[in-house]
Amino acid sequence: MGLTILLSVFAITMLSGIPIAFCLAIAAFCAAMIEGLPELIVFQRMVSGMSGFTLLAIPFFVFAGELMMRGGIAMRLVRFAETLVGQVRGGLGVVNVLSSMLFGGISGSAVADTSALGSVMIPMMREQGYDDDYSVNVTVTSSIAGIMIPPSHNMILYALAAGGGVSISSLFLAGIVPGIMMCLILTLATYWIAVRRHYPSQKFPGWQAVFFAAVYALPGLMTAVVIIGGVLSGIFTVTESAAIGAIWALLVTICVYRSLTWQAFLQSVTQAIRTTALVMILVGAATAFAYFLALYQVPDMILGAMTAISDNKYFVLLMINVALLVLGMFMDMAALILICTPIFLPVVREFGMDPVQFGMVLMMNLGLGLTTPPVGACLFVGCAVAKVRIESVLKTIWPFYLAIFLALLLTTYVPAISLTLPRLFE
Amino acid sequence: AELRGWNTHVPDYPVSVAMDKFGELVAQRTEGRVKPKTYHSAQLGEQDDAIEQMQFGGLDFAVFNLVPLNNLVPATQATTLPYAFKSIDHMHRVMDGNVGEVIGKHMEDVNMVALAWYDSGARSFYANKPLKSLADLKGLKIRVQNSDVNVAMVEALGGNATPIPFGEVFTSIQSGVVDGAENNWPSYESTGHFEVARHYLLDQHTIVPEVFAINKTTWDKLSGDDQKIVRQAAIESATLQRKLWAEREAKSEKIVRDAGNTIVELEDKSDFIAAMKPVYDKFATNAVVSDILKQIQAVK
Amino acid sequence: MPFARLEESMHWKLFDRLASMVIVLGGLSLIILISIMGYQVWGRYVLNDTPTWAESLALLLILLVSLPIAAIGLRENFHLGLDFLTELLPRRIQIALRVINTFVLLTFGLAMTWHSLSLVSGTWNRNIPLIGVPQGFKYLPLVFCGILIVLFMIERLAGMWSHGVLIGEDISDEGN
Ligand code: NA
Ligand code: NA
Repeated sequence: MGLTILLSVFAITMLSGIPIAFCLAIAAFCAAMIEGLPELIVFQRMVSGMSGFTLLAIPFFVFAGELMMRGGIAMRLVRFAETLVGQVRGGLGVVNVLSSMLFGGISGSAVADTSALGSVMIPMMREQGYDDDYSVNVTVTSSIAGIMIPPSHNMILYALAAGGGVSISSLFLAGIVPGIMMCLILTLATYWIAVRRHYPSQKFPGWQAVFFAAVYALPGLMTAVVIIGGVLSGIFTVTESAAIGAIWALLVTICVYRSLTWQAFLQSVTQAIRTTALVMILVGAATAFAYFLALYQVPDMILGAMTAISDNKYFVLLMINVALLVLGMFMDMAALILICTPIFLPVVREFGMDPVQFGMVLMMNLGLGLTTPPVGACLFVGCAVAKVRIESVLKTIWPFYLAIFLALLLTTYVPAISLTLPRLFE
Repeated sequence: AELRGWNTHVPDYPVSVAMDKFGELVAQRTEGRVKPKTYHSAQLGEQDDAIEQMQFGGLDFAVFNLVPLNNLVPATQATTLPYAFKSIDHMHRVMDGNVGEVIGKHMEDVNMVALAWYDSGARSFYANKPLKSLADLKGLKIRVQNSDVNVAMVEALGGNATPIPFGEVFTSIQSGVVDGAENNWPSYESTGHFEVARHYLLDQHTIVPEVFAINKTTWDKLSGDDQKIVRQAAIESATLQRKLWAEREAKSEKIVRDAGNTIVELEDKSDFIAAMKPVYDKFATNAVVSDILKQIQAVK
Repeated sequence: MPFARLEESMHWKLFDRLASMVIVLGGLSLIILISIMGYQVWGRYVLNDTPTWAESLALLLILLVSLPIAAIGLRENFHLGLDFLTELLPRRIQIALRVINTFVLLTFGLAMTWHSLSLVSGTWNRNIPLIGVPQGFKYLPLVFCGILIVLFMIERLAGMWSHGVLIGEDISDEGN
């Protein structure tokens, strides 16, 4: 009864257009009333969910991303990628993917990746005669690299939701290979379509230009070294690394590039707190919602159902992936990580999957969800930056979805892709 | 009635097994009138949240460590002060006697009835540098829990208290963010900390009991007979928990010793105890606390 | 989002000022947060004296950044939601749904304020370790969030009322 109320209130409020974070909290509130529990538990769970020390990394990553976008780091990364791979057919598409990989190494989120690189790359590609649908397709799907390649605040959320048994350093290390693999497959799709549409290529600017572009990009790329190096060496905690990374990005844009205006700084701060609030309220509400899922023993139910349907590991993993893809179409990543991890992690563990590898599957799968309708933050941002209609983008995005899906299958069924690197460092 | 129980540990932990045993005994002996169900692994929230939920009536029973109860029930502070108990057996004798009853009375003020006392072992210091005496602690960066008493204790012993989230302690020791930490045998072993901090100084600074508590409103609703059954089951579960805990400790100790770590047993802790004067001056000022401390010392 | 744009044109001046105050407060909190973390690293490696209060204080500040700004998010419509389905419905039903949703959120805001106040008062007698302020401070941002939600939803209802939405007239040509 209580579970029915929880789920149906959530579904009804969501379908009627109330923001998801509030749907989760309202559903939890109704469940508390039905159960005769003190309703204030819902609000206590919200605050408690938002009070994890490692969550503090989120505003820092977001702020650093905003600074890099407005302060010129993103632009210099794109230039560097352009001198490197601009000369292949459809060069700017490939440049776009490579920039996402580089930017992914300093930003923790796919949305930041889309907005930062989209605002630099999409106008650039338009000027060179690329169609907007293609530019948005590439920008949006390659932004998943921001989640896969460390640092990644979504991996922090996953480590939290997994109950402390998974170390953030292992997750960060594990993301590198699947992230690069995904980008390579995506590059193939990008190239293939560029050839079919006869997109241009650039002239190779010479090694000297490559060298100078690299030098210009280096201080920005050092942000990655500061954040990831800090976490992996253990010199800083994750949260401290994120804060130091933000301070570094601030210093680079002010002192080295000298390209940060006071207004851009203020915009970075106010936009960062908005994004932080959006993510954090989702995290809090999802925690309240998950409390009731635990109370109704939903994880046990799912585990029982899954093992009853099939004892074939490959089939169960496929089912989980399909379930996550469907959920990812409708809900935001942060909330889904917190709700789905306690539900699916016991199942995949039962089938012998390493929690670190499952983390990678979850990241890529839900990352794909960010680029799909009807709810896809990256898709929305990408279309908004390019000022094109979502429908026109969706008509031609299929090859890119297929590329990510292929990478997802490889990540799901080949553990070595995720686990080799973290085991090497153990 | 269905009773909802909270527990922070994973299902096969001594506390968890004992709480499940409690549920079984009660359901059986009340012939299903009272059915306790424990949610393990902090599924219903972290310890601080669970304490609040207990006060507000969201939980029926739980096993809490006394440290997070310090600010809420000052009487519990006496049991969490450094070197308050002489040994684990001493702690059991104290808590099963009058002191346990007195603290239980104070807990009723915050809507909890104490039914029995569990064991959480004795915490001692470990570090990645030789650790043989008080002098070795000087200047060491020691990870502590988020507690005022623990910070004051480490500083009084000459160390540099560093609060770090529990999950990050391993890499922090490995990379030198901190030089060491403090915990009991099972945690020292199961977290792998013994592999990066190979010197363990058995000063047993804190031996903190855990309380098996039931929500007072829930308790008052039970009939007199059921209350007797519930209390008896809690006490039996505590006996089981202490036995399982001791086994678990012995197992962990063997693993650590077999790994070749340096284990130093302290013959004489008087210099450690003497160094605690500022801590006691600061935290044992409350009349209730100092009275309970006297009673603890009086128990042989 | 036709309603959202329409509603923004009906915002009250006083609440504009209130919202910008909240944004300034959140921005300052973010900057202080970053400074605290920087100082913590500095303290540990340079001063060899880790500030033990830094972590607990930072956890309070993140709530002050997130919760009131989340309420602003309802006013600015920046939260993620599923509106593709409602947009398929006839205009009249869309309007009715929007009104109902606003009432639901208003009620939720009231509940949030009320229950968070009990959380604040119920935990006031207990201090947060290492910074020595009452545990209730944790729940104060939740109270602010609740109050702001209530105010902004009243503002939205008033806006709808003034355009005749609540008495069944169609609002304007905008968005059709
Ligand atoms: Na990243
Ligand atoms: Na989606």
